[in-house]
Amino acid sequence: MNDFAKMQLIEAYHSQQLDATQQSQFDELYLNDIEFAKQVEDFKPIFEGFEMLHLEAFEKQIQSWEIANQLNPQVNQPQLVAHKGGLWRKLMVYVAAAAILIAAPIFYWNSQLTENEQFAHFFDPNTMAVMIPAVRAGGLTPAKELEKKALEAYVRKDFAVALPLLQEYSNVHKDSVRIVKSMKLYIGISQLGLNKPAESIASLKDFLSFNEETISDYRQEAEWMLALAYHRNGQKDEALDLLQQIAQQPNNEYSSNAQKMYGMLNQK
Amino acid sequence: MEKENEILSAIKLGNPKLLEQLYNEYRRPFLLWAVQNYKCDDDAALEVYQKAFTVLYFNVKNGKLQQLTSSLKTYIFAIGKNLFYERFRDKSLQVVHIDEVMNTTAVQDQIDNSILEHYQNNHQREFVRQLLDKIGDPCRKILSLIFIDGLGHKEVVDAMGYSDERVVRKRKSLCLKTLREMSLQLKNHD
Repeated sequence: MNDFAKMQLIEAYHSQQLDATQQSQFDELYLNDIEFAKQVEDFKPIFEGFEMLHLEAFEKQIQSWEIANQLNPQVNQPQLVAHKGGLWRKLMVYVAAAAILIAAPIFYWNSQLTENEQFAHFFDPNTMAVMIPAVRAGGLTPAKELEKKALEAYVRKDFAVALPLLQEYSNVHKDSVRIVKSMKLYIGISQLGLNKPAESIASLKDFLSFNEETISDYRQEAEWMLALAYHRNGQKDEALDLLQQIAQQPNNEYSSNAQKMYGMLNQK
Repeated sequence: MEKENEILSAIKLGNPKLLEQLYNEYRRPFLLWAVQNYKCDDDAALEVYQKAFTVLYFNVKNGKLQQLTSSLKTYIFAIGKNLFYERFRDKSLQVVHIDEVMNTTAVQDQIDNSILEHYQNNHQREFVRQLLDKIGDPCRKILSLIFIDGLGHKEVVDAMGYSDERVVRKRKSLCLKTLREMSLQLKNHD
């Protein structure tokens, strides 16, 4: 059995997903192959850590569904399984009547959401797309080290640490238009995270003014963040215009959030 | 039941959209049931619902629930019932008027709430977070998408622009190998 197949067995074992055939292969290797048994043990804390991080991420995911649900309770009630028959209908009438009683406080809560809570719901920078320089043999140059530290802080969403580092990195490369402009996205989002919307608007506009092709992968996020920054800065008309544009693009990943936010701002 | 078992398979393969739909599907009936039967407020009912949903997800993901003997809804209500019992036991409160809306005893042996207890294990979590910070991209991204966000290989192909799932599996395997080496170095260093 090659290393790749062994790794798949180890992963399936720690994820508790071994089928009967894999289980017998695993047992045999574990008993007869010392290196394999060592690898299995070495991976134990790694997979346990992954599961804890997965649990943490899942809880955050549930909170985001919940906020979306409370902001827009009518839209988020899909029916996955079709039910038919009189009994079901009667039950639905009963459930609907009771739901009015239960939902009333939720609607009330919804209308009481503060602007900060709304902002916290929508402000979710996509840090998965950030490419942090990997450490290679021989180490990193000081500039790369600075970039790594800045982006690591940004990925942790520690904007107070990230912002000055990003600005410093940008200054180091002030002769490179490409680097200066590309850093503007992270700088603008960090400024927004630190509740500096006016500065954020300037940075994000600067980013969006850059060569179309170079920034195309990040344009959607930059526009969405700019709409949030307008809203945060009290520029309601600018925010609504931009949200409408985003909401009308079916392939835009922020389209559904833009629709929700547009609806909320329009109610005020 | 066949359709619901198909839903289980889809959850296991990693399908966040489907999970969100399920969450919204059962949320209101669960809150109604909980508030009526356990005389709790909305916040408490919601907290239990979220925990029950988390237990459901991890039981499916970890293969503890592979085949449903009752509906998915019955299963999630049964988890909720267990969690309410624990809650009342912990607070020495008496459960008032439990009206069984469905028979949940049939699924009791398929439920494992232990995932919620593991949450305290901060050390392992921070250890792996530290390793991921060090490993850099694309390994950090690919491992995070699969093991932290729970995405399936197909979703990772779309998210990272790889040509097919085979490439993702191969990459993942190499990244895990690197992660192990880094973990051993880190331990030797300590």
